[in-house]
Amino acid sequence: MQELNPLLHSQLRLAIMSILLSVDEADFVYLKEKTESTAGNLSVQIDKLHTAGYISVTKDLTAMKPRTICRMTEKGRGAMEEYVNILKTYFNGL
Amino acid sequence: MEERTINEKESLELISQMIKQTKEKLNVGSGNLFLVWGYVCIFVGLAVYGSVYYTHDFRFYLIYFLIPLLGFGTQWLVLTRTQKHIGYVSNYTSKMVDNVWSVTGYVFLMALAICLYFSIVLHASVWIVFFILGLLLPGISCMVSGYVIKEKCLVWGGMLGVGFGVSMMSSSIFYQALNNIWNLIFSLCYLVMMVFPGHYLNHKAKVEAK
Repeated sequence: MQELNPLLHSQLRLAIMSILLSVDEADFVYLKEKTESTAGNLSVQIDKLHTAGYISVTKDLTAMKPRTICRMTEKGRGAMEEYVNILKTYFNGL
Repeated sequence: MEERTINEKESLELISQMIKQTKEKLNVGSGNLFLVWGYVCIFVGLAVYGSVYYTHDFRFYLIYFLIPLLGFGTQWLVLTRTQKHIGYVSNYTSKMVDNVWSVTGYVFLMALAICLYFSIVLHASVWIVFFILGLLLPGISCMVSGYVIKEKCLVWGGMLGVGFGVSMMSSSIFYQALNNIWNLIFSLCYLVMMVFPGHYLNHKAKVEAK
């Protein structure tokens, strides 16, 4: 049986990727609210996903306040697809 | 939520839970922009009605130019406050609704330029066109938004706006001048077209969130 991608096989990172899979883009506040995580932890995990090339991170200014916007990349979409396909094989025998 | 490794069953549950959460049709505060523009138009419509009623001075119709100023100003404040608390997310539905309202804005800008040209260069007052568009265009946009997010109150409210817009157009063709009562009808249309649906959407989103 194939091993699941360790970068995605963690609660918070998988939650971020799952959210970004079904929306075009979301900002840090939205991700924090939906994942119910702390700002520090979320920031670290976003950074890991960004470094892996799974998400793109852009920063802009809204109402003179910085806003971090995350968007899933093609590489990230491929990784999620592969992750779900492998996950399916775990349940095929049940 | 923490940073921890999960088992396969939890993974599957987490993916479906997160996708389900983002598929929620309404976010808390979804109706806020309808409320902003609805209340601004009602307020301005009533102000014009009252001023013209007591003074019989039609220059008070210029108060309508406050709509974009008050509308965009309040919209900016409301969006800033909303995004501070619930964040920003964009998906296909929200982009489509945004684009519908952007097109409405562009048509208004174009109409403004044409009306200004007629007024300044040709010395012909065609501002009635702007007034009619003020009911027709938001009415159509409300209907389209209602169909996209599957909210019948927006569709019916928009239909009312379009209906009165067409009535106003017919009335202006037959009688050439508009009665002050149309300012009241204008406010009433915005009450039904935007304020009622806005409050309903916010209420529904709050119930869904619970």
